[in-house]
Amino acid sequence: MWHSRRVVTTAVPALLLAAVGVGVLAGCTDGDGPTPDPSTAPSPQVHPDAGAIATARERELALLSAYDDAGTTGPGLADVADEARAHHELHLRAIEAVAARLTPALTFSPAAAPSGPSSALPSGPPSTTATATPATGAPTRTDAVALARRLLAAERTAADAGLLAVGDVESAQVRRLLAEVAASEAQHATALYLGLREAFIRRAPATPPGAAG
Amino acid sequence: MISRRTVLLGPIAFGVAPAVARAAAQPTQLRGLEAALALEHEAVHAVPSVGARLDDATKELAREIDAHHRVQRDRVSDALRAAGRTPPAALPSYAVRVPVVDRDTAVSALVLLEESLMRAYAEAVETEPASLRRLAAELLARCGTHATSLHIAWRRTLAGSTDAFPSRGH
Repeated sequence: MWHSRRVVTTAVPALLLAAVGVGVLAGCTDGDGPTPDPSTAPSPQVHPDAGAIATARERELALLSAYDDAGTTGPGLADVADEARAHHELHLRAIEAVAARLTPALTFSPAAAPSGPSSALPSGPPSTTATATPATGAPTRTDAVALARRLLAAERTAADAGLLAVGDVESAQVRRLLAEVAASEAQHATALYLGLREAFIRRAPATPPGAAG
Repeated sequence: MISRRTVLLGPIAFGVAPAVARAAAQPTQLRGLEAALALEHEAVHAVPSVGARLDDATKELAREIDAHHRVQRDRVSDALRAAGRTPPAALPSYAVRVPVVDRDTAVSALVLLEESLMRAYAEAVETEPASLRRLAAELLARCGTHATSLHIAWRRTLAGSTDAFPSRGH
């Protein structure tokens, strides 16, 4: 059985994002103010992929939060949910490691996981939880299906975003990492889909429609 | 948990298909995509080769995957042509990578191909321009979903059906 785990994931790329901002601002002048002396102005060596890395990291944090919020997907899907969550932790670590290598001047400050409802979870159909959940609080079949569908949608959305981002980054290392992470998320979506089909739906196609793009 | 690679492949070492070796002689820039195309040709050949050993459920899945590979082959071929390259042609025949004697070995042969394709596409992600690396990334993900579907159809379990970094395996 898969239990909810609220794991406080450390490190928010605040400095990374700040550095991106500095990088953007460094290229801007208002035209009226004094022009900074290039010999004395700080040169914030921001990697061109810093923004993509930060966004990828946010996606992983949101997915981790989504799995934590989901709590349990019910029997049958627990294996894939456990596995997917563990993978997202590995993705997060890999992304942070790449960020550290590419922008060694940056350090990560500890922070809590994203607050509030999971931003990775797309709004689904109206919840039936209020009427379907018995007094014991045990998830019903309806709950489990809805949760798994939302996780599936979150994985698919993240995979699509990652695949798109691959085209925009400059570093081969980052491209490859983003592609691997997106492929992993597409696998999670497939496993969740097939698990749902097996546990609850049946007679759906053997491969999910629109999987991985 | 037993890893998918362990379950499916056991001690079998990955081989380099002749078509892949041939593609490796091409310029670096598109080598990954050319290697992937050579493997797509092999994949299109593989399903009919091993199909007789599959049960009905796995055969249906293999047919879907085969259809995907035909589309993928054409897309990669078109992309290479558009990039000014001559796409590698299919070989007259392909040896199946593992001796196929039953359903399990038939599925493992298909999974081997998907894993080889994932590695080729992962390398191709470094391709320029952006449209080609997006294609490579998309097809890496697609092959990843094939591997997951095959694992689940064969093992009848979700556990171990996905990878954190699919082209590297478990």
